[in-house]
Amino acid sequence: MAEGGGGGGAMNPLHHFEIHPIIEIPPIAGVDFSITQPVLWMMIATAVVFGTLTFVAATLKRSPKGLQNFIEMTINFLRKDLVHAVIGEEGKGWFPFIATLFLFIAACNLLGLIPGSFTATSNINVTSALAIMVFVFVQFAGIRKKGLLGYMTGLVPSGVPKPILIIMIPIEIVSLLVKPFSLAVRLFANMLAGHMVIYVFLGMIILFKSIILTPLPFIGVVIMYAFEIFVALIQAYIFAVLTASYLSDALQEGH
Amino acid sequence: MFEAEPGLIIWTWLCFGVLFALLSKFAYKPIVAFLEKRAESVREELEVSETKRKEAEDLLEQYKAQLDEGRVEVQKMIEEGRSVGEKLKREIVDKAADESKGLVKKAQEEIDREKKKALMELQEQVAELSVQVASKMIQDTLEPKDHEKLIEDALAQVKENYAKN
Repeated sequence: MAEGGGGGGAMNPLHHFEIHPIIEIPPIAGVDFSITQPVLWMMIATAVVFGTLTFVAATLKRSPKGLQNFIEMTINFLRKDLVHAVIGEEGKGWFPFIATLFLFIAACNLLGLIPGSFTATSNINVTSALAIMVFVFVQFAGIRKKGLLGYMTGLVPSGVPKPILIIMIPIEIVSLLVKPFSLAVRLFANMLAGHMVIYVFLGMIILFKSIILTPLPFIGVVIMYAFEIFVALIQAYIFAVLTASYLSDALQEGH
Repeated sequence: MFEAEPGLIIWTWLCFGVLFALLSKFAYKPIVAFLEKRAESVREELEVSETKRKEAEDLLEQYKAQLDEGRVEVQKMIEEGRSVGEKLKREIVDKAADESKGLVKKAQEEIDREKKKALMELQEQVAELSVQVASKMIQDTLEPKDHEKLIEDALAQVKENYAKN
């Protein structure tokens, strides 16, 4: 990691993404379970999402107002425009999983925009964990629907000549594995890059040491911040919609 | 940042798992059930209001038809009343005319009758007077002067009798 300018660690935009334990927990079976910033902020995100939705669920009114309106709109959007639109009627059972993915990622992304907080989704381990989980669930859904053999044969297009299968099977396996990889990298890279640009702009203010030039990076920060709010939601949506799409592929008959 | 952190991966699954379990139990179920129930009740209300609207439209049509029918009937009644009135008027006028004609005719007949009666009475008186004059002439030789007087008396007598009648 190259240190930016002469400002030491604080001037390096990547410095903000390094994780440190907040509460140290002795390793269990060689795995470090210490509470680091991403863990803390994932817990906060979980609490915020759970608190908000449970509060709304407990105080439902026939004519909604304010928060209930917003939550209803979100839930309806996830149910109809995302899960039902992509998977169809079969997707009904998958709604809680996809909705939780969207809400969890959106909350982590948005909470990461609070100054002094940490974006959990800007860590590859977090996004990988989510992508691996999606991968496992997608395979599970496919196998449950078609049986192990049916699912395996469904991975390659039917009616393909046998010699071509030699090429097709590795390609299909790669494409299967690339999906969770792309999910993890896309979310991680977007969250990291966006925040890094903000930090770079902020670093410029200190680096320039000029009151005349300060407004330029400042405007950059404001614009990027607004853009990041949009990116935070869009990335959560992309993650959820791709999960729905992979599930739809796995549940669909034939290739 | 790029190092593999199994602990963090497990924490992520744990957080997600807890959130998934909690939301599934305490949030999605009641919210989705509530939304579906409300959607159903809104659909029902819409259907009911649609039926009510149709009923109201039918009723309006019925009322309009009745109103039109009533209007036609009233028009008919007015026409009938007018024709009856006209007929009655004509009858009354004709009757009055007939009656007046009858009265005039009756009066005329009365006049004629009275006239005839008067003439007959006059003839009788003239004849009587003539008889009286003749008998007087026979009784007296009459001087021309007497003759004249006699005639005058007779005429006066006639006049008097005529005036009396």
